[in-house]
Amino acid sequence: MSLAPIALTPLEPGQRTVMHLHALLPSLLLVIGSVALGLIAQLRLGWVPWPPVLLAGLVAIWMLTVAPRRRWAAWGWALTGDELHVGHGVWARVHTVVPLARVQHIDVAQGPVERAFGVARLVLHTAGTAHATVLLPGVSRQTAEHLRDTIRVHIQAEPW
Amino acid sequence: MSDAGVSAVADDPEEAPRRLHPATMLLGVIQGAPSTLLGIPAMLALVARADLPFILAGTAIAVSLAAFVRWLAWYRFTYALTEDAVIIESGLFSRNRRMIPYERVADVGIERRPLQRMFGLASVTLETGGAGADEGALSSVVLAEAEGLRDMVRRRRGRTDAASLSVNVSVAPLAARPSSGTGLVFAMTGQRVLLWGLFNFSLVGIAVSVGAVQSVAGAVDWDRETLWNAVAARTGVARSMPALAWAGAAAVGSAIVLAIGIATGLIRATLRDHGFRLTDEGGRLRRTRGLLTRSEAILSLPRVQLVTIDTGLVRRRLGWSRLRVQVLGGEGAGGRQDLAPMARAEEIDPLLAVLRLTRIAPDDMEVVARGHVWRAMLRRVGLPALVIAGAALVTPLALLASPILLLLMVAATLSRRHHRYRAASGLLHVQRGVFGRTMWIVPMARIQALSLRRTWLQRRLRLATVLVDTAGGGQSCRPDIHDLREADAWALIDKLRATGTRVEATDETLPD
Repeated sequence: MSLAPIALTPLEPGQRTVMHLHALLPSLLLVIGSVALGLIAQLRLGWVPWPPVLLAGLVAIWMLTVAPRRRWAAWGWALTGDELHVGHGVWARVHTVVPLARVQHIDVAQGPVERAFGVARLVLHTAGTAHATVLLPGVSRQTAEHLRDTIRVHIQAEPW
Repeated sequence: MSDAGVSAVADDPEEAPRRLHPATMLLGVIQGAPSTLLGIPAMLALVARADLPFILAGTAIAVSLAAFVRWLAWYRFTYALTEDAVIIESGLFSRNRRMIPYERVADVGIERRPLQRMFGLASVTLETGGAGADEGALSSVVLAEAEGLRDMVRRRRGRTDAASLSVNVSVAPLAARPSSGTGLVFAMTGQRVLLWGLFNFSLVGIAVSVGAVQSVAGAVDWDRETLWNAVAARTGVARSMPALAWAGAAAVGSAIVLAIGIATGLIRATLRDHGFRLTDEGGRLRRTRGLLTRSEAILSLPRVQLVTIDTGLVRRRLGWSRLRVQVLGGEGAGGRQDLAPMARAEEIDPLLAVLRLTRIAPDDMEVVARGHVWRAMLRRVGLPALVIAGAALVTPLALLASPILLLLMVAATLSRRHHRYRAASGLLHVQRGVFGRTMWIVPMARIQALSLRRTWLQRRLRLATVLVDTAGGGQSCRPDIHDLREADAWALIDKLRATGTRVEATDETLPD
């Protein structure tokens, strides 16, 4: 984000833990699936079972350790006057600008894991179609509510 | 409520969080009954070998668990009408607290399904301009409360409207309707509709007839060989044909296909666009068209989000193009609407004037970065080349497809020339397309959100794509600007957001 016009605030550190924990289930499923595949390959075809398991294990370790940290680091947000900026994405870096006057309604959501680590998700809904919902995860509950109340002030009746 | 942070304490009892009617739980069970009943045979098959007490205990546990989950979902769903917004809280474990400001509630819908009527209940939906389907659905509350809710939301909405001092633009032109010109803006003669039909060449008819033949053949239980023999016997074509006869058959076949395609296009265009008339009624446009079904649509100008002007390879040479608008949904006239299916440039400009828009010549627009060609080459030519190379390993015949690559290469080279943009005087103009070409005209005040996206490849080429989100459009065919230089992309975003918010403020004060 070298050329970005504004510096983005990183997410709460708690969100990183949340992302690591959320990666637990998919990577576990991946390992279980690969073990099953290896067993089938051994029993039915007489192949060595370990290569898929090893591969899946490496991918799972990457999913658990490296990927969440990189994704966490890519997220950022900033509230400047009458706009909310949200940046995210490792492979495709996206920086979204939402004029606050465009917001239709606002969600503040919190899952069990997120609650345990004191973070919440802020979801802005606009009338747009492609990026109609703008997600900002990993802000503290207070920040999320403060943001919501600030954004609320900017919402005024539409001319349609 | 257990979470003190989630539920706000309200002083006014009217504003305190409320729950849906408890019968909602029962309604949910009854509505879910068909799928539950379908699941029973599967369950029986699963437990067929188990003992009766075991089955009973399992059923009891499953039923009580389901009941508990239903109760918890009901208990966790609350709604409240506070001073300035509707607050809806929901979620079993993952909690969601939604705030819908009264200003954003376009309408309150009350629906009563048969089951709900038996209980004297009603569903309330709060309709906002958002893209989602159920933004604020309350199913079910007592009918009296639903009506009270609607009145309260409307009352409070009226209050906030007055407080925010915004002029409702759509009202002013309506009042001035008789005085402003009620004139014909665009019409199509029968001749032009037929010409338009030629460009509507469609292979749908062919697909239908091929499908019909196949299903008939399938029903009669012919295999292909028998069918072919029968055809050969009827038409007198020898079973083993010389090459010339094959070529002749192929020519006749493609002529038939062409004829069916043209006929389908003509029929479809005539049915849809016969007697196309567009009239200006001051602040809104009325469109009537259709041969058998005369359809009439009214487009309120404030609802127009953007305009597209598109042409094809041949139509452009002949000077024809199509004008469409993207409209915010509502009253069945949402999405993309044709304003002029086939029009000359001199007919398009007056139409744009009615919409209070202008277009600019492509030469006055800026071209995207040079890297766009490289990226187009890699994506449009590189990938097909890989596919062909891979197929050539299997069969050398695949190499016959390589001339396609040449065509794709030409398209990729030309893509930059024709991908242009300009943001000036409150409008964003975007043009894209090598063979078919589309021009978007977007009032900056209509932009919902802007994104700048840089993929891995784009970062290597120092490029960025600007994604422009508008209301009422589809997922495809958006006025995005691909592969600008990074600095240019940020500059464009700066320009769009600076003008976007300010123009709107002046728009609202203009009485038109």
